[in-house]
Amino acid sequence: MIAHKFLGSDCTGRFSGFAWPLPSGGAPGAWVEAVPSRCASGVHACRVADLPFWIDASLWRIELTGQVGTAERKLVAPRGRLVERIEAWDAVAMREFGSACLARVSPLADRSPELAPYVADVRTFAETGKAGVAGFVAARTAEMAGGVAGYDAEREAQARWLADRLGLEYRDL
Amino acid sequence: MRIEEDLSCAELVELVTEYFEGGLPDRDRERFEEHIVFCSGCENYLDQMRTTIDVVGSLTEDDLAPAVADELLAAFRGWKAGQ
Repeated sequence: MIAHKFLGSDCTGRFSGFAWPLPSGGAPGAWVEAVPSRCASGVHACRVADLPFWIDASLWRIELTGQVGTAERKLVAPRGRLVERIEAWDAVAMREFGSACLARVSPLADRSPELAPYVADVRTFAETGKAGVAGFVAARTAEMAGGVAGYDAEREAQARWLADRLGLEYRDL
Repeated sequence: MRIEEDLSCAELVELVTEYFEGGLPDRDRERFEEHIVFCSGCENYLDQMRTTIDVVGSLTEDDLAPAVADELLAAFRGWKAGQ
């Protein structure tokens, strides 16, 4: 199956530190097996709805094989390889993502002034291109305003924004 | 991850060994990793721990000079006595 994976700007995994073999000349990168020295559970990847939780500098399509398991916020497979980079996810898109988060949560501070500092944080992170943090603070702000449903709704809105902006297909979990 | 499920930075530091050894339950592992996404300080800490393990993770007792081993043992005993 094809899923998605965020990597750092140096194309290493944020948690494993593993340098993924990259696609080259139109061919996918080499297959990577799940090994305990990197992660005991397997190769991690995202459905579109998972993406807002794991934002990093580069986004890739990844092919997974074997028994693909689902966790609350990710897929886990015994084997995977990078297929192609999603070039539309770049510094501009990261700032736009933060701005979209800001646009959604700003009205919350109008109704509840105690949320204004959190909205200001979202603005700061959006303007500095820290998309993952902007998304996190926006979701927390929505949760403070509307409880768990607010958090979930904001995260879903973020995933749908990414799907629209990057040309991905969103599916409910 | 809801507000009440958030890990603090101090809690993350206490869990880092279990994280590297694959000993965390799936949900706790996910909480740990979600914290790393938004906390640059803990991301740096994780990188430092990973580098430390890469550099010294293969050392055994035989790799230590006797004087160094004695010094470390004294330090550990002193630390434990001070608790």
